[in-house]
Amino acid sequence: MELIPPNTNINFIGNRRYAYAFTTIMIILSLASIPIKGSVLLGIDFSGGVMIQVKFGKQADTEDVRQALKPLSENPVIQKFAMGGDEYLIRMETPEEGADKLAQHVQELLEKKFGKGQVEIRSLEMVGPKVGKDLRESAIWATVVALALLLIYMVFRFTLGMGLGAVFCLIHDLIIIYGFFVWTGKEFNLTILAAMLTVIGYDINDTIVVCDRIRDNLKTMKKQSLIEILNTSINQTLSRTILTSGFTLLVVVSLLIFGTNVLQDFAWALLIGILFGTYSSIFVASPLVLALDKYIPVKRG
Amino acid sequence: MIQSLQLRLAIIGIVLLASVFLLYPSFGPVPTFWAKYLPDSPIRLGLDLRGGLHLILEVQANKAVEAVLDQTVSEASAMMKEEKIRYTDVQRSSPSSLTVLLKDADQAALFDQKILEKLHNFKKISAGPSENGFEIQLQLDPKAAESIRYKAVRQAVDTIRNRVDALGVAEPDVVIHGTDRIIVQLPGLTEDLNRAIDIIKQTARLEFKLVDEKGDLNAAIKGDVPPGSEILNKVDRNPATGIVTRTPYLVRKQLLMTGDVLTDARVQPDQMGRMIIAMDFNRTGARQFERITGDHVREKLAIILDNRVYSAPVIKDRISGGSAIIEGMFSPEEAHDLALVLRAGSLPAPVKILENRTVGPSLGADSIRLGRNAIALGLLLVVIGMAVYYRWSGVVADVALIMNLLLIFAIMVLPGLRATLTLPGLAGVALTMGMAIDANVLIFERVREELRMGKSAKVALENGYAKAFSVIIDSNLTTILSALPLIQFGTGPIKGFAVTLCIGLIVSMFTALFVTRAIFDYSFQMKRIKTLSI
Repeated sequence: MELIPPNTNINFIGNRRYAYAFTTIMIILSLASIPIKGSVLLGIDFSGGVMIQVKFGKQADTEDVRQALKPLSENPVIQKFAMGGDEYLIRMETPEEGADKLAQHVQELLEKKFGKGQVEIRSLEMVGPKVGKDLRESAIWATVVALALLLIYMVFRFTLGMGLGAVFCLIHDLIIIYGFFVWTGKEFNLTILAAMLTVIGYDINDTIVVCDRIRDNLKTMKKQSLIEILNTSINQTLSRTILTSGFTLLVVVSLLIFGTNVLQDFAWALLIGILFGTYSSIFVASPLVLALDKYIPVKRG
Repeated sequence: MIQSLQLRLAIIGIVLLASVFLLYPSFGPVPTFWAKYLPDSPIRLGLDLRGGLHLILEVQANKAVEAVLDQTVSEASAMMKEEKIRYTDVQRSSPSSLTVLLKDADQAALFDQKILEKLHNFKKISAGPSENGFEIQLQLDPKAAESIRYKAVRQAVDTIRNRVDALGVAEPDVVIHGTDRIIVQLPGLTEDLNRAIDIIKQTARLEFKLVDEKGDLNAAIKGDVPPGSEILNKVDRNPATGIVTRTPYLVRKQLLMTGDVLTDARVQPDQMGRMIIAMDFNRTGARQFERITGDHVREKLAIILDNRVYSAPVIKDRISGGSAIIEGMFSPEEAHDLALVLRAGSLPAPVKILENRTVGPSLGADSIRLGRNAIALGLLLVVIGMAVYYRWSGVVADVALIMNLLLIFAIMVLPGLRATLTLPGLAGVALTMGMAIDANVLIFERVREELRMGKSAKVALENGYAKAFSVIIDSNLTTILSALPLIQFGTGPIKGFAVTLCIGLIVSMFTALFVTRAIFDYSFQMKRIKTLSI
């Protein structure tokens, strides 16, 4: 079976203006989310606060839950679980008196309303404001370090131009995932950070495969122009790029189907990241290598 | 690449066999002889899958410095009494300095001469006449303060470890995180979580101080506390009615003795059947206690735990023998827990809970089921997809993929590594499948190109592997590089994800390159296959 027939020769580089336009629009759309929707909804990992997952033995109403928790929190965010049943996610500020007995307190308050034995606290997470701030800083630090490591690796194994092109692609992918999370109002937590770092580790592979081909072809296609070499390289690896992305997306979709809340958002980040990562490695990385060629020539021969 | 095909197949066979042995305990109880020669522990599940308690505590280490200063205050006043130096007051004036108020400059000179050198780590920062005498300011050396803080955190970890061990949790994990934080993980603990938290975070600082019987308690309550004394409460909660009563006591600040000298604490009923806690002191403690009781006969000795007075009996006579009791209206549980923390030792400083993650067991079970389903579906889709697209070669890649999964879990139970499987870790395993297959896709695409150029199946295969090799290494290494910064995120689920992903990628290089190649070579050599189904 073959998805991409051999000798396919799509003029990716020749049509790079469309790619530039699309990329620019996507980045603007993603960044525009921030002034329009406000900043991304930070999970309690990063903002601090309390998140409780409760399962009720009988029918429960969001308003009842809110009423029951009134003594503890003025305005908790109560969200019914997507997957059937009477399961709720409750999010609130860390109460004044600290979180030592929080689980007990919540249980007592809810049992008063819904009856003994009707309330099961399935998980409770409390992150103090100090830890939240630390984790925010480490998150930014982790992303910067990952990008820097990848840039160094690319420069070491390939060329500076390819390294810059690849890292720009990754930043592009990250901006789009971020924009997706702001637009959809999904929560950005540690798991999503993990997804983002995985995405950049994954997306750079596509770019590496193309760059590896470019390096090979530079040796054999001495007469052709750089544009032709880039085009040939992308076309030669196109089948692999689509196939691998396709297989990985199959896995991501199965995570979307079976995942719980946490894993579903994780899978969404991967889905967006892999789709745009595949796009950017084809349409963004190589044109950038070409554009940078004037300043940082790709070595020939 | 190892030339001998037999050797390669043997390596693969041994690896497979080893994985099966490593994973066997994860599926059920093992026969007794097993544990003797092989690891008998199943895959370690993270808190999010197994249920349990995860705490991040902050040791308020400055309080330990303050405690040392308070101790120095007691020592200094005792020494001055002994040297007959006349002073009006010694007290802690800031978190790291002491103020000594002496009668006049002559006494101050005596202080400099006799006492100052005995106060290690303290420096005189100012001295001069004041309203009611002569004032000397002493400052604790910042290096010494730092060392106290450092030791406090270490000691807190040891103490919490002791307490957690006493709780009887399997595989507890108590580690220092950063400079002053402690991560406590109690996997599998799903009942009595609040009680566990109480036991872990109780300071359990036991102090013996004299009741200030000369001072006016009523005036003190109104705000006129005599210098050198303080008000501490006795809090009683009637176990039957739940009514709480507070009785204030005026207590001398001077610290006579602490609970550091305890060797044992246990719950006993007294003559009236109430729960009391009996304590034994070590030899130093016994001597100290004997001296204190001897010096203060007919005075009241307050027994104070975490700034709460438990009892304040009148000392009837010198007490030798090195034991004492704590009375209070305890429920049997409270008494048991209190004896436990006293035995395990006090925390050198109070701790504050910065992060608390509690997962119930049912949620963990749900997550395991969903994670398993996601992996199964992902695996099924990829296996079918590869077989359809690359036919027989796809099946070879599928075999490698399944072996990859087996190896990931086997490596996770390797003794010495003992990685933890978390919910994001399961996602990492699923994701690895997509990435592991990439190596074979890269090879097979190259092989197809070679075949199109008219090369024989054997040569095409050889060239395919050779040409794809460096790019496979590159892509796996870069993914590992990007996951590395995640490992710093404590011991939580995210670290589990990063570790699982890295293991998966490393294993995939073995399965996708080494294993598939051996299978292909075997078919060419043994089965004399001439063409390649790809």
